[in-house]
Amino acid sequence: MNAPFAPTRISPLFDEQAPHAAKWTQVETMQSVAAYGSADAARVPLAGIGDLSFRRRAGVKGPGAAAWLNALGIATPERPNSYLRLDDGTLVLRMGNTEFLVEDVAGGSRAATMLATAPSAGVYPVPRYDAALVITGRNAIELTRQTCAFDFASLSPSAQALVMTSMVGVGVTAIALDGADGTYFRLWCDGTYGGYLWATLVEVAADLGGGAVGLDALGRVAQQ
Amino acid sequence: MRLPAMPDEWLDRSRTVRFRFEGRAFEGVAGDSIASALWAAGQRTQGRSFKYHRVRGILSAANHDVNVMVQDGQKLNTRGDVVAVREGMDLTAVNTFGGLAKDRARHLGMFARFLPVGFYYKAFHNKRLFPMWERVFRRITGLGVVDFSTPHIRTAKRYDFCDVLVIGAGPSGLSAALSAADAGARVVICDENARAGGSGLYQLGGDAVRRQHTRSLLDKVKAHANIRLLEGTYAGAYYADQWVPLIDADKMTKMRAKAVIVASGAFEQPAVFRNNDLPGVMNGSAMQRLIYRYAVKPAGNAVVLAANADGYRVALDLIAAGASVAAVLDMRASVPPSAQADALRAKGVEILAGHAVYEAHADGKGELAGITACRIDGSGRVVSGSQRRIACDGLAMSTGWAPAANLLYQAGTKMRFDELLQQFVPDQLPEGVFACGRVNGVFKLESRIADGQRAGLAAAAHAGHGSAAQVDVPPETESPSHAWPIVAHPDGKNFVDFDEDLQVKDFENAVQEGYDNIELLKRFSTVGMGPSQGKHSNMTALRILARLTGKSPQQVGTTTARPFFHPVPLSHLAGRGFSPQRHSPLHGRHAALGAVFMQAGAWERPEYYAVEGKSRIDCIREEARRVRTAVALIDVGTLGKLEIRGPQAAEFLNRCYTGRYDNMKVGATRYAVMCDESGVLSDEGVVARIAEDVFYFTTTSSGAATVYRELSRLNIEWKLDCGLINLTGSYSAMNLAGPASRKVLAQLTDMDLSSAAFPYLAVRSGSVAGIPVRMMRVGFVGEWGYEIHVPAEYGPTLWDALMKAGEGAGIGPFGVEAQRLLRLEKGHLIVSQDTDGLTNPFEVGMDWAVKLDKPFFTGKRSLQIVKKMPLKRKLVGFRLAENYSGEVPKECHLIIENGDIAGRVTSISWSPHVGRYIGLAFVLPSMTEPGTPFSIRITDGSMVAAEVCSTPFFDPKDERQKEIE
Repeated sequence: MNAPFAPTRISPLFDEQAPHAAKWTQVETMQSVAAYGSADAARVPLAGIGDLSFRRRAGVKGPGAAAWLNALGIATPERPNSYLRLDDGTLVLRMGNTEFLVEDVAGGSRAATMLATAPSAGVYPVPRYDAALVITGRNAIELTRQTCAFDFASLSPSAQALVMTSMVGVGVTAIALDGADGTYFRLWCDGTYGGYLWATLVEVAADLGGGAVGLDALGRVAQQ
Repeated sequence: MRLPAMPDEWLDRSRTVRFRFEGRAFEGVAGDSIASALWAAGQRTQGRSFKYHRVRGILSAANHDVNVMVQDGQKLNTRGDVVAVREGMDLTAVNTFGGLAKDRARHLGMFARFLPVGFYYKAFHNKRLFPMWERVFRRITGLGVVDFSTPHIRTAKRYDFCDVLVIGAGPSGLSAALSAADAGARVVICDENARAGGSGLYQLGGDAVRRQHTRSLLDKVKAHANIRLLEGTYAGAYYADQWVPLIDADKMTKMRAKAVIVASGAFEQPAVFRNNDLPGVMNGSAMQRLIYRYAVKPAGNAVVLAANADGYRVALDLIAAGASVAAVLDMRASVPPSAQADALRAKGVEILAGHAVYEAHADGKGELAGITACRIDGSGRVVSGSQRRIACDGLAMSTGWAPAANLLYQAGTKMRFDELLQQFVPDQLPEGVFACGRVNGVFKLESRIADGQRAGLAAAAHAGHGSAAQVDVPPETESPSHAWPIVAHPDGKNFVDFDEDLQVKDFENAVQEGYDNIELLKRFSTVGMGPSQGKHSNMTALRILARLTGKSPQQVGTTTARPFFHPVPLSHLAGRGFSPQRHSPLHGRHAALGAVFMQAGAWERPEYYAVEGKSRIDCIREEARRVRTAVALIDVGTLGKLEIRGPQAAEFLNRCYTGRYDNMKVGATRYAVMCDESGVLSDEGVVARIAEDVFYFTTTSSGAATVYRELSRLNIEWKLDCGLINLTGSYSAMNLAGPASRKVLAQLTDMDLSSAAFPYLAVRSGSVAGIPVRMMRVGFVGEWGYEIHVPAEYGPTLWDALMKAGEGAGIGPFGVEAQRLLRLEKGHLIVSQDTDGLTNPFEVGMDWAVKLDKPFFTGKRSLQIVKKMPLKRKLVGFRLAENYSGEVPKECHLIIENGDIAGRVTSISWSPHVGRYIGLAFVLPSMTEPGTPFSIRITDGSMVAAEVCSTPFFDPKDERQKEIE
């Protein structure tokens, strides 16, 4: 027997996004929202909430994790709770002494390499199908202040710090990145909580002149 | 009367504001408070007191005038003394029966002797009269009328951060903020008033130059890049680690600071004498606020009751505002020399040392028309025959202060009573908390500014900026507060607490009845329990108690200061609610199929799928029928899904679960029971051996987080060579069950699904619809089926593929309720439904799953002991009579044997496939034999006959799991 159709990846945020989506696209075989409407572009510089779940990612933990990643050519941050952005845009997050998350940019292959490589001793692969969000705009800090007890203003992109905190009651991993239009934040959370996190952030962002934005408006932020 | 423009007035004179109060039309100026606009219009009576319904006017003009609270449409208990008047407001006083002027309860004061302190406690002593009193009290108490149609107001609830938070933007606070900011700290300074500056802009003593100190500080603060000034924002409380909720008109902000400076100042305290509550009698600072903030002349002809330098400044401010001052009565034995006293004398104002107000007199409207002054001796007693009447329409009281130390108390500050100052001052401040200004016992303007500098530098240093420095703060040379600002009167009505109409004699009576401890006195007399929370009464009550018991104020101590410092709108406290919901990756599919969701912990799960024209129970039974006769699909993605990897993974599981896992073959699954240290059954699931060193296992949906947390802890403690991974949110899982399940699945996979290649209780990895899967052949619902686990992002795609492939076989979804029924037919228990917090595995027939021959597992030692003891109960199957048609017992209904409780029902349902009501129940060990009859007592007390029977109820030989083709 043959599979009747090729498998499509579905974003953990799909159910929340579908009723509002105006234009769809497929990135990395994931059905993703290209645009919610003409307001997307205006939301980005204020408080844009975007979905980057399409990016492929893989996790690994264990005492041998760092060495294993290095052997695959993936550099790792020196200290826990920090991240590296590799030359090709790959993000390498170190969430603890021995736990890492690697996220490809579109077209990247490091996650696939990790999944295809047998773990060595003391290496425990961690499948990652997170909801992956981005928050853009000058009201991003205010958005986080209405949703999280952690001071996102202290997350300097230059320090490459990572924080694991609770946002609207959902556990998230967060970092700040420098973009062409200023600092933006990336968030990852358990996909089963993703819909709630997304809907709540979009609701608060709307009070700040922002809201959901599709990949078209995110532009380089989505691609980098 | 409105005065010419004042230099720092809050008014926008270009805008007139029209509003109504008690049905009458008034005009104010934009920026006016409700009270100032009314006062300017000659409306001195602005409310009624709580207990005796006496007329009341402005007392503090500082947000504590609870007798001037008004209803503003749907907003009740609006503080008239500070809330800005708005165009079109239609206001009523909150505590009247029939309006302010003709309040039907205005004569209650005549019955005061029947309403002694604590009378309501005593009223309730009589059980027979309790309902009557309850009705009476409910009718006559309560402020304002709640409109239940008031819309839900969603407010933002936000967090904020700074290095130094300064609470209070008076001279000391402004000075502190500047010093801290100059040292490099990020400073936030808040003030509850609409505009910053505090007393520095209204306690002038007729000297406009005096305001320049504060004006200069304020200008610098506003211009400083490191300072954020939040006006109209009060600090509601203090919580651990410099966590302070800031309340403004729109929202609550949870401010986390590295250091907090409390520069909250002091509350001016009313003096106590007969009729000290008449409209026209007010604190001196209230008069100054009226003059300088609202440009309102408080009185035409005033008397000032003083006991400190502030009183003299009040007199000079009144004169500057065009009022005449008939006399300054100074309660102190002598008047300290001062420029203010000299200035008053030069203006011909009579200053009477050692004098007080014996009583105030009302005019026909109940408002102040004059006072009787008297001489007092060194103990505060009235000198007989010294009384003298003075006509006046305003009386300013400037006899003392109480520190606004609520937040300092909440922070854990140890306070001491300073005899010179007659005030509690901070003795030991907690780390990271600083105090300056009046709350710190520093009163002179120049000293307050210096004290602010000191505190600002110290707070900045604590936050990591600059270093603390020695700043000289000159000591106070005279007391700002009188030790006994109280004048006795045989006819009473000398009020201590204006919220609750408590008089001096109420305290005397309370102490006489034995309530001679400050906390007891508070609860019995209710002093400080009104809306102002004792800001004007606690210190005086404390002085009275100290004198009555022969103690010092230090010995008497203060009552506990609890959050919030000031009433906070419930909408602010509620804010925007966050209640995280957890949705399976298939949630949207369920919704599209008409699922009726139920809450299961954080999850929303399909209880059943609604079909138009069918009842809930019919839908559930149809779903169950489909599983038994065709094929159906259920989302089981809420199960906890864990993986353990490493050479010692099997050893880890052996220790965690009661069974044995080191002897499992790769590709096999095994039921797993977990106990806690006391041998209580805490969770269950299925363990699948994926590889020699890889196990994939499930937990109950509700136990997933707890089990992962506990196993992570044990993994760290045991230091075994293995790693634990939580895949609960990463994997989607669904159970394809029913006689046609294999046929449906075969359309989507090349995997060998034959019984030989994929037997019951096996686990296989492969691909279905091109999606990588892990599949287990398990039979929770008692049918041939496959529990399919896939990466979460492929879950919906696989669900769609299975539903499409199953169309010809009549596939449909089934929900949690159908699954519960199906598993009950198989006699499978649900942990936490059919077990409780005391259930051990032997009580539920799981002896086979407990391998006591293992060296160790969690709970083993307890279970060894338990096994040697006789069982107290046992879970059995039962059924009702074949044609039973009465009321059906419910879960938790008791089983009664010889009049005693013999157990309880844990599960019960009608089984279409058995044709009877079936269930599980705990019964006494003597009742477990199949066929044993017993009775279930249902809600109405009647008994329902049942009998024990063996389980499974359906397919007892597991024929459904055997090869059928």
